[in-house]
Amino acid sequence: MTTPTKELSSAGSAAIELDGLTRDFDGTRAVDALSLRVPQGEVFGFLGPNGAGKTTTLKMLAGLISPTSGRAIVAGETVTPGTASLALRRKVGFLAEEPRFYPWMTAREFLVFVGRLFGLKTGAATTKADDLLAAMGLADRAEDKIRGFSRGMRQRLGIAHALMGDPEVLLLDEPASALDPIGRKEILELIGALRGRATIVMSSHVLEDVQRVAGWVGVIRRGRLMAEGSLHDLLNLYARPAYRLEVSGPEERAAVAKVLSAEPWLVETVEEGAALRLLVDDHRAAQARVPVVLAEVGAHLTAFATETPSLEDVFIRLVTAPESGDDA
Amino acid sequence: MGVLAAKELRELLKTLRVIILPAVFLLFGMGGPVLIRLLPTLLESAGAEGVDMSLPDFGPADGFGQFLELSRQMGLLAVIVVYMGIVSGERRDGMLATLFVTPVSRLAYLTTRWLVNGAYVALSFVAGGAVAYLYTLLLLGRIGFGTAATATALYLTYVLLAFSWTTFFSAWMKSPPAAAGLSILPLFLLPIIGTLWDSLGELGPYGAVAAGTASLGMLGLPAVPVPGTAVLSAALNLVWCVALLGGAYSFVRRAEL
Repeated sequence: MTTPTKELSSAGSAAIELDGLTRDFDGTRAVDALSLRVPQGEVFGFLGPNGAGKTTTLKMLAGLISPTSGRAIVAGETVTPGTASLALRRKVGFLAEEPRFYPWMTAREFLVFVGRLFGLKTGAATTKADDLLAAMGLADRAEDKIRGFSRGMRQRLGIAHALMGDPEVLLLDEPASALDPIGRKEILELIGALRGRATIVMSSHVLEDVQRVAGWVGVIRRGRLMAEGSLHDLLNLYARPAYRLEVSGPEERAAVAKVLSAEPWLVETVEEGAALRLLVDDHRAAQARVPVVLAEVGAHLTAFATETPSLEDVFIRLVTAPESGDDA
Repeated sequence: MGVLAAKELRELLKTLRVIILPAVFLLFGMGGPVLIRLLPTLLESAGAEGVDMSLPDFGPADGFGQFLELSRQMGLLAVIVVYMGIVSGERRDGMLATLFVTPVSRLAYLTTRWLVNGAYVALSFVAGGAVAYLYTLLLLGRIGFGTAATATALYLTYVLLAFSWTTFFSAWMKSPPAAAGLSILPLFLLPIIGTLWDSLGELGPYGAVAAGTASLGMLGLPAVPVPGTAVLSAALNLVWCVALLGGAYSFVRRAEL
């Protein structure tokens, strides 16, 4: 599949620019010549299935691992093979997928320690730590040892840790993965509120989360960038027309789905409760043939409507499409 | 480095690690002289009746020397166990990744950790030596303070060397047990190498230890003045400590997290 990076990546000045970024592990290519740019102040959703290379990319941008080749510029600092510069680390905040802390420290003690590493005086670091703990819903656990924290609490503390240095670029690896629905909503709102103050790269395989906060999206598969651009552009470019079709019973639904599966214009049928979601590649053919199929099967139509294309449609299309180098 | 040093000290206190090494060396400090004091009685009561045994006259030097020997063997094993994860443990736990996304230089991290914990090891050993000196005075008689202090100082360089090679192996290996396994090897190899080659025996890492023992005059043997080669061996031990820190840094600098 052709990557439309060049066409889509023309807006604004970039906070992150990757040029042929590549990383190999023992002969396996985890990230393959990744080139993209993230506009300043944007929330960038970095999407991909498990093992696609999202975490490796984020770790390279944070300076935790080195690229095998290629170049990355993050907040104006070049990430080169070898250790990351202190200047880079002053400008970047990083949340690991499973953040780790000194278990013997309290939450406040840890954040004050991090603040002091960023050069804050103890008083200022304590004030900032308390503010962040409150923002993360951890104010009442400030004096508790981290060893007793749940995974969700650690994730909140990890976000506070990433924000302690007022980063220009915030790298978040699956920031909401361990949170309950309320926590997830709060964290996504917080990420949304940071838009414009920091450039945020947020990896996730939860498409709903990304669609909720990200304005700019990149889809990676097997280390290669499949598409990158504004959410709006990607939906326009890749989302197929979709229809919601409801018939009167499960037997009729199954029969309709079976007959429709032979139609050349139908890309995919997804069962969504009592309805069928039809992804099609030819609007007109779908509108003409669906009533005919219903009549052939003798099904009773209860609803047939166009659906707003979602990021999920884009994602499925991009990550399930055969690659040029695939054997299949 | 001040922030990191303060964190190291808090970690020693809060994890109760602060108790472990002093407890070990204080135990040996008390146990060494007590053991020497009670050894004839213990042998007698262990049923050695009818067996003709001739024991040397144990003196104060033997009591203090026993502390040094226990520290060299069991004490260094304790040091290795406590510090096998000084770097590899934090790397495996993901703490290094948490730390190295903040503006902390890897050299400052390692050096601070080595300095604070090295000082803790040294103080623990010296505290054990002080207790051993006191118990020797109380139970076995007077031993020259200068003699005891010199022997302790010579041994101390070897203790610090063991701590440094443990740090080195911990930075090299990803798993603490692997670091411990490699760190135990020099404990056995260095004395053997010292006996095989005279020059390595005198100037090598173990030269300071052997000279420290000889300077006490244990088992009724006359005390041997500390030769210049032993001082050089002790100085080289400290140089080796710094070299091992440099080697450890070369691993930490390139560590991928």
